[in-house]
Amino acid sequence: MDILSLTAVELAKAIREGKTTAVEATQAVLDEIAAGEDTYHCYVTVEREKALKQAEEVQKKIEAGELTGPLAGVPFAIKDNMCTEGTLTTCSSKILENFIPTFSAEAVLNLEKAGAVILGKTNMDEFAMGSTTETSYYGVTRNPRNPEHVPGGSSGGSAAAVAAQECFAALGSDTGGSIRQPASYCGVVGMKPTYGTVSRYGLIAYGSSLDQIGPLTKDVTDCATVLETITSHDPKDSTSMKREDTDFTSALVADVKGMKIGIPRDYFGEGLDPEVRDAVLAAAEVLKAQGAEVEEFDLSLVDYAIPTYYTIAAAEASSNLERFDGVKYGYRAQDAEDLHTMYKRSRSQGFGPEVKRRIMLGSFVLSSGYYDAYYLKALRVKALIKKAFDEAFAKYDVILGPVAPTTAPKLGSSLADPIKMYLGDIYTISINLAGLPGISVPCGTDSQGLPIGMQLIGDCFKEKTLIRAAYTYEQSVK
Amino acid sequence: MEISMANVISDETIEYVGILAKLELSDEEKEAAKKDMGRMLDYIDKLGELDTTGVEPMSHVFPVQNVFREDVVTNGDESEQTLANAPGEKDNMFVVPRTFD
Repeated sequence: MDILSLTAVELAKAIREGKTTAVEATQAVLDEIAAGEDTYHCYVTVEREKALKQAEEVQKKIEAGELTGPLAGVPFAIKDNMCTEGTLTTCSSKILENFIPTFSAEAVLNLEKAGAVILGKTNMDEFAMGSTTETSYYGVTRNPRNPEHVPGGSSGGSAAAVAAQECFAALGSDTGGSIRQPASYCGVVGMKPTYGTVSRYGLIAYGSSLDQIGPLTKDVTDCATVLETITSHDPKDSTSMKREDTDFTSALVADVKGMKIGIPRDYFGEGLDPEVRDAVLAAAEVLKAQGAEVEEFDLSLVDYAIPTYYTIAAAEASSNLERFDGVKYGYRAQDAEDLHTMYKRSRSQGFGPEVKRRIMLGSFVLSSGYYDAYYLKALRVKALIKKAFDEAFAKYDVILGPVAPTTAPKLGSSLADPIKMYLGDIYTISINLAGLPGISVPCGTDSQGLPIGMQLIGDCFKEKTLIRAAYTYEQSVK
Repeated sequence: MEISMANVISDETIEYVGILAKLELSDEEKEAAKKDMGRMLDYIDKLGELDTTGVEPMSHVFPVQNVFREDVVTNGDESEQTLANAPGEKDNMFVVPRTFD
């Protein structure tokens, strides 16, 4: 049995049936990490000894009948912006180069309660600000489908680790597309749940009104299973929602008969690579052949999503990142004689250029005299964008489109022009503004062999509809 | 690429934003920031095309209320582990450079 090629759910089943063990699986994936990391660099930190020890404990509990769930014994990778007790958590930034959290993120604890083994922390764009994982202080991650290309971002390390079989599943976070876009670039499944579904406790905040944790997995079954496991109502996160319908795996049904799918014409205009367009439209045809009702419509306001997003995200980032001041944890500049100089130098030496760019923009749009014109204006447009989606979901169960305008760009080709890079987020970003769930499902490759992702967007709390549509597609093209 | 630069960011603005953001920028970084911020603001100005009269600013997508909980310690005394992360520590306190003369 080739352990590494199993999905997370298949692996857990094999462990339950005694065909392999959590320890054997962890050892196999650690060997794969040792072999692959020189090329791909998916991880900032690998916790070899800890993972093996955790696997031993989990295996004992499985054998004792204490752990019976669908993910017991499965080795996971965690994006490095989620706190993990006793394990370095850097956000891929110099400013957190030595930060060892005293607690774990609620989503990570939920995984551990279900018997997951934590392998380590994956590389990302610094503070999740970027679309390529190239803004990491710890070096770039390479796309396992073609190492000359980026894995996407900001959860690039998590997506690459799943694609390279350096874990069986991973957690990422999505503020403007940071799970769905790298999933698309690396040919894996990635989902951003409805805002408030997964606790943000222990997730180092970027844009708090937009951030959501979600799964990156090998297939839709794993995605639904991981989402079901990490979802919880958490009093420690004031935006955590109390939800009833969180049995997401019950939606793993291959049936879309009568499902109404809308294709926004505005998502297929200028800037979209023809190969991506053709692959996504072909995927829509597959769902149509399975009985879905597919039609085109005008979503409107698509061009306003990016300026709205960058205003709000930068504003929230400038506020959230105030805490990094060299006092209580992280990097401190050594040469400062007084407190304020210490703050300024620690931050200036500790943050990279993209983070500084967004903190400055955020400070500006929140400053007296510009707050109304920029920040409040963006919040008003956000309300209009939400309304446009509400109107669309009055007609459709699912909105279908591309995840990104192109396949993965080459390493080193994106950072020189920030606005051009931001434009790559055009199809993912409004979903965060409206709090909606979205899933990226692989739907083919381009002529260079690079993966293409289809994005399915649902109304708030309608993850099950997305899972059903994604699962139907996946089963149809198997 | 043609840059309209409707938003010409002055040296004073960059100085001011640097103070707000608590960042110490080199001259080179200041020049880059002026250019970057001008371009971003030009781009954001696109929002001005939309009439938002009478539209309430939406900070949260769901109509949620403030969530309160009792102010009680539930995680025990972690001061030792917490201080282990501190760049400077003495007698169970954080140490920082002098704050006044």
